[in-house]
Amino acid sequence: MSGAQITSAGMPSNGPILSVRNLHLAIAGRHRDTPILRDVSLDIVPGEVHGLVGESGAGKTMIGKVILGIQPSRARITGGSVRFDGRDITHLPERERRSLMGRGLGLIPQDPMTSLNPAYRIGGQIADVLRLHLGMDRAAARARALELLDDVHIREPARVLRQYPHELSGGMRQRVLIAIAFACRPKLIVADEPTTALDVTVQRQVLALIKEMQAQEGASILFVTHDLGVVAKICDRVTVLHGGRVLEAGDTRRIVEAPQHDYTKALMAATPRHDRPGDLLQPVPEALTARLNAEALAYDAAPGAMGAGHG
Amino acid sequence: MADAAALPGGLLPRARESAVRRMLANRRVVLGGAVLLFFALAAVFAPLIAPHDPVEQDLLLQYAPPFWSDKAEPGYLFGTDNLGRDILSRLIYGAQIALFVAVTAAAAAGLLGTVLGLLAGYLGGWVDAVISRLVEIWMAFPAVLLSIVLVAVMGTGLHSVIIAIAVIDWTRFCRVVRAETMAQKQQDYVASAVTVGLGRMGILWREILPNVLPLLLVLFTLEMGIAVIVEAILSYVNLSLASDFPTWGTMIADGRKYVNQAPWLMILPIVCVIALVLALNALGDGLKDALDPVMRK
Amino acid sequence: MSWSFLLRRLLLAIPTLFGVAVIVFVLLRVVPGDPIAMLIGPGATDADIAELRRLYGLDESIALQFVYYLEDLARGNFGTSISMRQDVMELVLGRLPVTIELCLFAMLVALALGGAMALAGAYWRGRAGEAAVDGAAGFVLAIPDFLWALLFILFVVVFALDGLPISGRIGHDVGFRGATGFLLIESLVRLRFDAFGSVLLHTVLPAFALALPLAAIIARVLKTSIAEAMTQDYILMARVKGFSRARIVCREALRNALVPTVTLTGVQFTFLVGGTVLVEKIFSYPGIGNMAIDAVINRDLPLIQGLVLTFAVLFIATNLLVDMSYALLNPRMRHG
Repeated sequence: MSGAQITSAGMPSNGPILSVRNLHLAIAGRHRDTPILRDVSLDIVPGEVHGLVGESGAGKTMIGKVILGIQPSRARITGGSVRFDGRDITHLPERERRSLMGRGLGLIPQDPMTSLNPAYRIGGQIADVLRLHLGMDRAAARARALELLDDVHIREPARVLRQYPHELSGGMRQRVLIAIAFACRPKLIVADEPTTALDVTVQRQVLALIKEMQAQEGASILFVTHDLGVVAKICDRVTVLHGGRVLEAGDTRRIVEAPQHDYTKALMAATPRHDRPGDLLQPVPEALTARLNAEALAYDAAPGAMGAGHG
Repeated sequence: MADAAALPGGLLPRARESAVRRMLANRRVVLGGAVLLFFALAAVFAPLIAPHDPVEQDLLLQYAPPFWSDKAEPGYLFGTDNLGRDILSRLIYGAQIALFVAVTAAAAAGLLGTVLGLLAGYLGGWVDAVISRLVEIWMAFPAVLLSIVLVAVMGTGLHSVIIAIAVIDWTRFCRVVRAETMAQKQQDYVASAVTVGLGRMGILWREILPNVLPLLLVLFTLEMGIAVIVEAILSYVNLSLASDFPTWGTMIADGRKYVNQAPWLMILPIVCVIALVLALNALGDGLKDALDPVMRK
Repeated sequence: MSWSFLLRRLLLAIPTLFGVAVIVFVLLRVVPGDPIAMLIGPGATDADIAELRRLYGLDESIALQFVYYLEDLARGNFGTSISMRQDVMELVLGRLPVTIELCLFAMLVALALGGAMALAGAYWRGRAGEAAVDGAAGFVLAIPDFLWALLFILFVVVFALDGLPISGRIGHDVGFRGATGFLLIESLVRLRFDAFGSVLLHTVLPAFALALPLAAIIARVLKTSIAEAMTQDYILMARVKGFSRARIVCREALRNALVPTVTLTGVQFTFLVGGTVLVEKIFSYPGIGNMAIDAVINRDLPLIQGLVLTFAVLFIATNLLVDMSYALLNPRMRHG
């Protein structure tokens, strides 16, 4: 595994900003628990954009939620730990979790259409985080909100500040949400499929914007996506997930050019590539999916017996 | 009333049986039904169980307090009122009137509302437009005032009370039945009935009505609760029956006059009204829950 | 809010008002039962009856009567009260402020009480707090306003709460005669706090009796709407922003739950207005509801007619108010 300077204890200042170790998570059901994450580990160093790739149901969004502490109440962490900025945040009390938000952690959500509160103006929704976490007064928060809207290349920011979400397009709303995510200069931002819900042309602009803001502000990003093509464009390193298990992890270039795991190869074949535009896209073979699912079930039956797959 | 025979004939016996079992398993149905049964028995057997004549006055025995007081008069469990009439007997006969009005008024309102609702929902077009508009205008009236005025115009008496409740509350049935009929109309079995060649009225009668019956049963139960209240209101303002006749509303109105001397005059009939209304509401809500799967079929 | 929206609502009220006028006419003139027989007691001579019939235009054909009736309504001429020998319009307008003030006060109580219950239920969702709120709302809802009024009176009498008056609107010893009829507002403006306190105490019980059922409905609907709002993505976003649960419920979710709540509870506000008829009677509160029952008892036909129409107008006005608050709360409509 790359990023080898990491150890789970004793955090030097140049160590990872986020370290997930052997995380297990299950959804409590009426009769039995359903495992969602199985022994997941990953590290993110400061300034890194880390891709988390997998098909829907792989558990990648759940990892993002656990990091932010907003997993559903029925989801139980059954093992492992999450360390952020040198402290264990796996089972943080609500009040302390809240204090991490804003200046520590941020989120760029999947669906910009539903992630802004329809009842309030854009300006207020940017300003409220500034006031809460940076203690700004109304005027200062407004001025900073204006600046932020300018940073995310929204034209006529003063006008947008006074508008309601329903007056903006999806792309505009995602820009606003990016502004909110970066507003308090967090150390780590979880970007949860931030372009999936957008039109193709808008997708490219938003991706470029996230990269630009990241470079400007220096935050780390956990970029959750199902699209290896997007990963290739924006991420430094990648973790490949299936059935709640990490199948392969490493530098983006290595993964893209020389994938080791069959699943990663299949995922590559299923992804459109601009360097080889003529290629036919292959869906992930059903036989492979079936094999991986069987492996996951075998793992549940005898945890620890299977070490396979950790790149 | 609430037995299997009232359930839709269109259902298989098996489904009918499970609906009954679901009803009996529902706590609110059992509890509400038990209280309702209690009042119903009291009403039916009033002449047998009432210890005194409800209108017989005994001016030597005014304001006898109920059993929890030291000065209670033996033989007068709940005491006597301002004219020395036995309160328990008046309450028992009051149940008779309350339940009679509840059943007949709810049935009349239900009949009127259901017919109009079925017509509006099934025929649509201008029939629906006219009926819906009528419902809307009806809603612009204060129901209580309207009932008072209606009874004043028609003259006091139980028949006026029943007609007033029906004329005012048919809209409750009409709105729900109309919506449900429209929904039922969309479903395949009506389409298949059309192809089989039942006439329009035949479809209404044979296919749609049985399927809105469970809903009607719920509405009917709830309407009975409303009727009990309206009758009490009209008796309270002295528009229901002659004032010596023992209705709960009259007893409350008398109690209000002498509340400072004898608060129990008012407590007991109020408790009766609330108990019966709570029971009917619980029964109605419980039936709604229990019959819901039937309605969704 | 756009003026065109308001205008459209006002125009829509006109056919309803017309329908109401027609029904009042039918109710009082066409329904079996001679209005004159209703008006006068036994022992009247035929000549008396004929005189009365002419006086009220009842000797004309029904169609002509209807035309005269509409003409009078359009002129605002509601006739003369038989029992009070005064212009009906004057009588009604004199008492109307009392009822309006009572209704507005009761609505505020219902909003505050129902809102607090809903917020508590939403905050303690899935715990004992929510169950308590649900139970209380269910119980309160099953008992109509007039029974609450009577229960309050019993309560005051049994527990000898002499500080809480159960009859009238203002203490006799308080020498305050308002110029407007809006005693609560007027006494406050004139800094007559003794009068304000007296009116407030007299208004508390009737207002709560009227408010309780509405409060229970608001609590139920609002709680469900808040629960629905709490599942939305923007609530997740609010949690990521680091807001407290109290702030998320009260600010982020509540605001969005208001619009469906107003739509679903709107009609209930008119029921509150209708409830004044009995509640005012029970507390001898001198509004138009109390007056309506007296008018019925006195068989005062012109007054009954005027009051039924007034109530219908109040109902329509309440609906208008609800619609306006709906438009104010919904940003989409404010700018649409």
